[in-house]
Amino acid sequence: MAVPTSGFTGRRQNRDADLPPGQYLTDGFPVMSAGPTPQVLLRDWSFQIVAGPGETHQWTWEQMQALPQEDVTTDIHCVTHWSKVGTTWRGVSLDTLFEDVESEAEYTMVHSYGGYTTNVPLDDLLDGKAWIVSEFEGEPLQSAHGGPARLLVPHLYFWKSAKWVNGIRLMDQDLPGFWETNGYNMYGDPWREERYW
Amino acid sequence: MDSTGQHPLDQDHLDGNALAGALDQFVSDLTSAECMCAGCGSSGPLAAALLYTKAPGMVLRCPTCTAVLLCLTDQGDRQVLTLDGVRHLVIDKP
Repeated sequence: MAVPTSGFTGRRQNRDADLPPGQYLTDGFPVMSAGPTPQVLLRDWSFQIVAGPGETHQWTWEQMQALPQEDVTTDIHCVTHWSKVGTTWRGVSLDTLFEDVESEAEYTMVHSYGGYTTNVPLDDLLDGKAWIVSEFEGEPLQSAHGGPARLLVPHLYFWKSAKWVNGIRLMDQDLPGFWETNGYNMYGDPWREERYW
Repeated sequence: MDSTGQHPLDQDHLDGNALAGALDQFVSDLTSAECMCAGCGSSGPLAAALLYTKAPGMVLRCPTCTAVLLCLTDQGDRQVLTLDGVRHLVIDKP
């Protein structure tokens, strides 16, 4: 009896074995968007961390670009089942932005131009796990992919990596953002396949 | 609930099963229903709103103010419909 072999599909299967459950590899970069693409001029752009009443930390585009920039190579996993491996980004670590922020809060709401929100625990933004990125594959981040700048928190499903990010508000309790209100998981770990409620 | 395990307003309401007949019309095509945006108050048929589908769910936005009217998410074995941005729907009877 002939023994089935992996044949030409073997490489794909081996590569997929490194992916979270339910994911497939794509070489493209699908554009996902739940609304109009905000067109944000760099001179108008700002990013702020609101840590509590009277404690807001804000950066202009120039101030953000003057901070230490890190190169990040990482895999990304969209909840719509595609994954992309070895993507390269450049941006500012959230550790840098939170350096002078004092708060007892454990949760955050990430805000974007256009009104998008998503919730992420503060611990998932720190210790080298998240960045505000403005370059993708060596080029300025296109607006369709979240430019001028997006959050990159690649160990969670990619809806947490908010496009067109403009702020993070610290919260004492975990509240749902946009997709989390509309059927998606509060945390979104792709390796545990935390897609939905 | 009171000490007898009954809701204090029991005599004033039916349970949700009694709504079944009245909701039958919702299984027909809803896109012609007149929708009022909770954000800006403008009205129009759902069919004239802006639908975004390249996303983890289908997102319908108000054509006047672009606020989200409703979102329909497919969870595989069930669907989630949220109507946070809809003040009301006016639906013609069949």
